[in-house]
Amino acid sequence: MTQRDPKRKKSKDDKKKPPDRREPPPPAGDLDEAAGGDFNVVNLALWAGDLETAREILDAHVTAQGTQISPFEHPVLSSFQRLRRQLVRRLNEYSALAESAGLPEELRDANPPLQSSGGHLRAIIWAESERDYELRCYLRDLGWEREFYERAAGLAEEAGVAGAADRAARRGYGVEEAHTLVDEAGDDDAANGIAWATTSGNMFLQPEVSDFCTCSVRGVWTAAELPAQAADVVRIFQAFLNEFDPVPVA
Amino acid sequence: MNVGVIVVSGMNGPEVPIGTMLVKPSEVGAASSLYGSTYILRMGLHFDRYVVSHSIPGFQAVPAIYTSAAIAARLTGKGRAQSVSGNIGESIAGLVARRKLGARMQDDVWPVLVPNKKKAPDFVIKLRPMFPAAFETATTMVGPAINFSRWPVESKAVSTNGQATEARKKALRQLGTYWYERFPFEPDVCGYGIVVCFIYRGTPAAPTRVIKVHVFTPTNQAALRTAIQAHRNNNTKPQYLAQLDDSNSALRGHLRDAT
Repeated sequence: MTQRDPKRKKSKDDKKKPPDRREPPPPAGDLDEAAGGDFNVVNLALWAGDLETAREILDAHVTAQGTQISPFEHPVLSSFQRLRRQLVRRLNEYSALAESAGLPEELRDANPPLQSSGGHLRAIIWAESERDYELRCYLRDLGWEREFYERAAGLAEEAGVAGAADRAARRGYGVEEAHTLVDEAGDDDAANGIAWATTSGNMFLQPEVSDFCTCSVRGVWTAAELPAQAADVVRIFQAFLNEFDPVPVA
Repeated sequence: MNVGVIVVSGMNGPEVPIGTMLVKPSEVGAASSLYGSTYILRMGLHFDRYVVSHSIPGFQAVPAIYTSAAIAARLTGKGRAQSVSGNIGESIAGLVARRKLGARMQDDVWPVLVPNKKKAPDFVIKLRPMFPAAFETATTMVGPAINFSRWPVESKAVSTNGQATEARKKALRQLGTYWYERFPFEPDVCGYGIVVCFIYRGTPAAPTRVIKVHVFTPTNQAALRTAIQAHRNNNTKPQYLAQLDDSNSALRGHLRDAT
């Protein structure tokens, strides 16, 4: 991705516009619905820290940096443009920070994401300390949303969280059929509630699934000796991803 | 934290309770980290301290274990970060839409990114159905023709009813800006919008914790569209917004329960 000076001078397009008397243009693609799915995934990828996927999608949608897209005419395309600009600005800031901190070159690049063996999930591992990690996982394929919640609820039930599957089914995420609020008129006496605890090797894991197709897994390294190499930590989180979204059985 | 959710027509019209929503701090944290505009780690913890969620621990609290219910809310020596409250406010509508308003697909909820957030709502959201039964009951509009694809939705979190009143006014201005700017491309959305307002404290005399879903609908969309078109032709957006701010204006009269 090309990096530009974030302090570029304003162009003539930034001047105050005359009264808006133009004829309505052709329909704006129903609020850019065609690009909306990608927009959602970019937001999820950025939340997770998956710059590789975010850039890949942004580059596919934003080719002309000079032309300002109206956020009200094309809200999604405009947002792509804005996100791309913000990323470039952050990259420039990060470069200066990394340089001032003397960070080795090999540590400066964004991490490639982990991917589940079923292909629907991507994730990034965040290290908070020598023992505390967070796996930020998100749904790359929004068409798998229903299965995402069903699988998560199934894992929670296996870990002893009673009723998780029922609650997920009642929530109905990923199911397009309309329902009315009358169906939900009772007290919502259970939160989304897809959270559980488990152990894997030397890690204690606490996965929690949100309402927005993300799963945060907090991991604590419990062995007295710290992990000897990054692969010791990555292996555990990769196994979690593969259990969540395994290769489909033929 | 168990919060009542109420659909309201317009500013202060008829109300329809739609049950409660049980929300854990970590769930607010997840929504905030995704949709909030300020970079804050562990938003759920901040939410827990600021709001007193009373969600942990599961066992009987003892004095030796500090929870937000016991001690943190009384740490009055330090101020609260505006950006934390802002993050909560910006994200609560996403949760309500998913849990209570039928936004069952992840792709139904889009955060809006504009250079100046004061000029646009926080989200554009597809509901299923687009005009739920509770909206019909509150507004008395039965089966209205909804010819737009997504509701503009503004999201607020405030501590008192008084702040909620001010927040609703600002939110209506943001919706009004959306109707104005979006007019050439989607005139059918004029007059329609949602403001989700989470009131989390109230006053000592009247403690309050509720989520209100204010549904704005037009009483005369044709007249509203004519007015917006006229302002656009004359480039008089500031006057348009001033009229929208005035609860006694003819423009406000074109909105249901907004005077």
